[in-house]
Amino acid sequence: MSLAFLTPLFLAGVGLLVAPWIIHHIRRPEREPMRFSSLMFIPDVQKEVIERRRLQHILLMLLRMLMLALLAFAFARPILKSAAAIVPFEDRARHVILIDNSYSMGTLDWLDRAKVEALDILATVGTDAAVGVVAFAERPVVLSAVDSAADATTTSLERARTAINGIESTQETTEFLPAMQRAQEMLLQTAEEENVSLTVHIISDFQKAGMPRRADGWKLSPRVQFNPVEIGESAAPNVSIQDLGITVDSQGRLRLRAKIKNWVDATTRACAVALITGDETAESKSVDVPPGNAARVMFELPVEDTRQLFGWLQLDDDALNVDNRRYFAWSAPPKVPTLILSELQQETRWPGAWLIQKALPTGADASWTVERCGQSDLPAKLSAPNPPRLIIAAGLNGLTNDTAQQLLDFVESGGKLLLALGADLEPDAANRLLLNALGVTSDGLMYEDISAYRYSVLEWVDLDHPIFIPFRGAQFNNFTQIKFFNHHTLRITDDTRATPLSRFGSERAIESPPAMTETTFGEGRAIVWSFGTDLIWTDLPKSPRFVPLLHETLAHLADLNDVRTVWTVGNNVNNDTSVAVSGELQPDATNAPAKWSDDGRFTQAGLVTWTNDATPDRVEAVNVDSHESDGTRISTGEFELRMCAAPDLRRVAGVARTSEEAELLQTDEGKEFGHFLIVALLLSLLLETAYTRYLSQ
Amino acid sequence: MASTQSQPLQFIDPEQLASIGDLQLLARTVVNGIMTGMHKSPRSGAAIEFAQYRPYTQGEDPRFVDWKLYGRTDRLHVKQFQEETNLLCTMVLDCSASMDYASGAVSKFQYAVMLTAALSVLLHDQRDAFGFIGYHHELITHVPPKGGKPNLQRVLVSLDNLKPAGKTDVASTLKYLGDVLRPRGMVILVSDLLHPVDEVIDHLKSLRARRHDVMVFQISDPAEQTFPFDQTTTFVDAEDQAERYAVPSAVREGYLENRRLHFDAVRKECLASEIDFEELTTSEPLDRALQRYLHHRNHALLTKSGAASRHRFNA
Repeated sequence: MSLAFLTPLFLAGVGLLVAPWIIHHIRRPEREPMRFSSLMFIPDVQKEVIERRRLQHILLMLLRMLMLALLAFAFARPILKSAAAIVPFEDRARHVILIDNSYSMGTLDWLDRAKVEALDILATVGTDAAVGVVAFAERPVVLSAVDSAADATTTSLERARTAINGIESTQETTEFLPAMQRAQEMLLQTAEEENVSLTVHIISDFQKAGMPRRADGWKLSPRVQFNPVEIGESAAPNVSIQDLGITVDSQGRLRLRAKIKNWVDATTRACAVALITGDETAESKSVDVPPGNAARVMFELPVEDTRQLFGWLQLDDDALNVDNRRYFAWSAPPKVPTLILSELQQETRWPGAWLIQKALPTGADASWTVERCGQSDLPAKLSAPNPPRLIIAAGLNGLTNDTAQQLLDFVESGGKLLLALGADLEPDAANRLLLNALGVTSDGLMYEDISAYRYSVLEWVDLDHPIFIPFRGAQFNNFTQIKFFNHHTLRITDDTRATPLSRFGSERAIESPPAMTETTFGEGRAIVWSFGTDLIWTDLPKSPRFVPLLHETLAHLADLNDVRTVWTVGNNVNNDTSVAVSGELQPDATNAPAKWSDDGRFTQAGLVTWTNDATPDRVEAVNVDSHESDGTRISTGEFELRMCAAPDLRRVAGVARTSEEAELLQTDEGKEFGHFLIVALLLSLLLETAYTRYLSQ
Repeated sequence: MASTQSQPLQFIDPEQLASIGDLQLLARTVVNGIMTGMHKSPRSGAAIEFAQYRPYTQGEDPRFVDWKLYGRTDRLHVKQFQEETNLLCTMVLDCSASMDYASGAVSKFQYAVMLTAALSVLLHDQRDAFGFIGYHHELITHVPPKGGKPNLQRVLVSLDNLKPAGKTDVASTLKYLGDVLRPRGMVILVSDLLHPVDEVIDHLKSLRARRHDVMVFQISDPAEQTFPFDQTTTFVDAEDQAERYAVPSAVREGYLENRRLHFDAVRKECLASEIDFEELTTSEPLDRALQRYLHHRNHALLTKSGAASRHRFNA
């Protein structure tokens, strides 16, 4: 065992030990006689007392010197090293070179310079070193693995050199964390012994946008040395199109909005923005963008005569070309044929079905076409050429067996049903005809009569359900203000199919009746509301939550929320469920074709057309990640601080660049014991305080 | 009136007084402060005041018979008058080196000089004759008791020129005082009384034996009262330069006990000899000492034992 210090400069503090000695000698009583008015009252002190007191003061001085010594040693951070473990590094070191080939590295010749830097590193690591090469952007790609010690030959360097020369730039965004983790994994897998030098070289432009949003506490192992190599000067001048969005206004015009961002230019940039559809420039505008700011542009296009529109916005050229072009694709919203099944209720001034119909807009941007019919017309509607995909049953007074069976058949065959159990549906009839098949049952009405002063409220809603996710905000998630003056007391009889979405009681109260229940039947799904929407039963339609709740419920039933229209380079199509549910899709390129790799990842921005038999062709846009346009950098020092273990920890772990340093540091099994010294210091302080108090008595 | 009683008196701190260079101004400041609210008599020249009636006895001077009272009561009474005599006050100031000790800004000697000067001004204002003696191992200065402003100037100049030094020689001073003091006067001793208790008591008893009205102001420094030192130190006696190594924490208890016994004995002897004894600390305002003096004088006027020597009654 030997002793070492992490911050040995603090040992100079030992020089302070002379301070107590000086103070004690300066304040020696015989050198400081005190004139007093008369000694006649001062008793004589025995010599033994004086000698004892002198000894006590010497002890006090030694105690204070000990405290200063402890303080200096604690700040010097002592560690104990095991001498037995001191062995030299193995000659053959292992390296992983991470080369950033993200989209931002396509600026000027940065990627070529990165390759030159990588080759320079190869030239310095030594002929016996094992080197792996990883190109990384959104994900790391291992181009050359690190050889294990057993099969190490000079071919490792040759393979690395070949891999470096073959790296091409991508349009993906930068993600440092997966690359660093992959490099560490490669090194630790091939070097289980501790006497091997491990180094990660990262060659990048160190875009700040590539730093992990949340590092989750991951740090590069103390065993691994870190060597950052920065490429390029400060952030390159860049202007890009950001936040492109498409909406349809009430006049049926397509509004295309975007921001033109001037990232780092020191002067105002005049840009010409062109809207290109069908390989032709439809419109062009000029905007002046102040440095560091963004300017908005908007284009309007009529959409009455088309079901879909696609193209791109084009900017002037600059160092990064691809983000000067932002693709878009718009498809007319799918019109879900929706049928409101309700009998006319002349005696009710505001029938629930009428309120539901008024809550569903029928404009050009609406996602549904709404029809309303009675029970007698239902067979005809179901057999029409464009049958409804969604039925809202609200007002089923006089429900017949045939109608109930038709509804069940509709759901079983894949249709979607929203069933609102109002006052006009007797619980027994509802159970017998519909609810039992859907896995729920009604135990009757909650109240025998209606009173304005007696009502139920929704005390629990499942905010994790897609219907209620938009209501998660603090200003929306309180549903207890809605009054339900009466409702069916539902009970779930088949919990494998039926799931409560909200309850009138608390969640813990299992017996509390569900207010909304989602259930499956055959291939279709149904949502059962245990209340009608008549104002006699509830004031829900008067609540500002009614319309969004109804829209979200219908969108969930019609699977409208799952359609994805925005892609980014690097996204993997095969992993996307929304594509999968639409059937076997075969991407096809059109006039500005996007590209994808064999594993289904988009590799180049552009437009992609999905074709299959079940649905019409749909064009979608693929763009580079807008974060990649931001050239703001992070310094290598800050990068090391956030991504790597502290240098002191690396020293303790025995990592060194040179063999001399390795011999000195590699064997520190040692653990810092400075905190024990701090504890001893505190105890000494307490002891000194008590001793001083004793001496002053 | 209620408001004046509820508010504490605002005395001048000795440290502030010591910053006044002119001793007469200093003394006047103190006396004016203590005399505020004490009104002088609007009548002047009436030295003889009516005291009481007493039944006439044979042989008394018929001039003092109150004939008007005889006409009303048909009995002979004589009028007795109280005649004030001039007070002969001698202030004796200890100028030994032990008086030069100061733990704060004001030494015991400075405090004693300020006190003596203030008493002088107060006596002068009361038209009393006053004198002053300064001593240590020998007599330093002697201003015989007289009234009037020139004597006040002499006393103040003498006080201003005094420097504390040397040891205290009580025996020679006692002998000298016996020679020079006229009997039945008032003696105010201002000293720290840091002498052997027997000497001090003999000193005081001899003064009482000459029927002097004796008042003792014993001056102490706050450090002498509490012995607040915490560092082990060699203490040097201010008078004979003797040294004593002492651990304050170890000797404090003995010191305080010795001091208490010493002054208890002095106080007890003073009580037995009807000597007014007052201990003053240099941190206390001077006003307290002056109030104590005025109280002592009024008390002496009203008690036969104390005042008999200074009042005579007309027969």
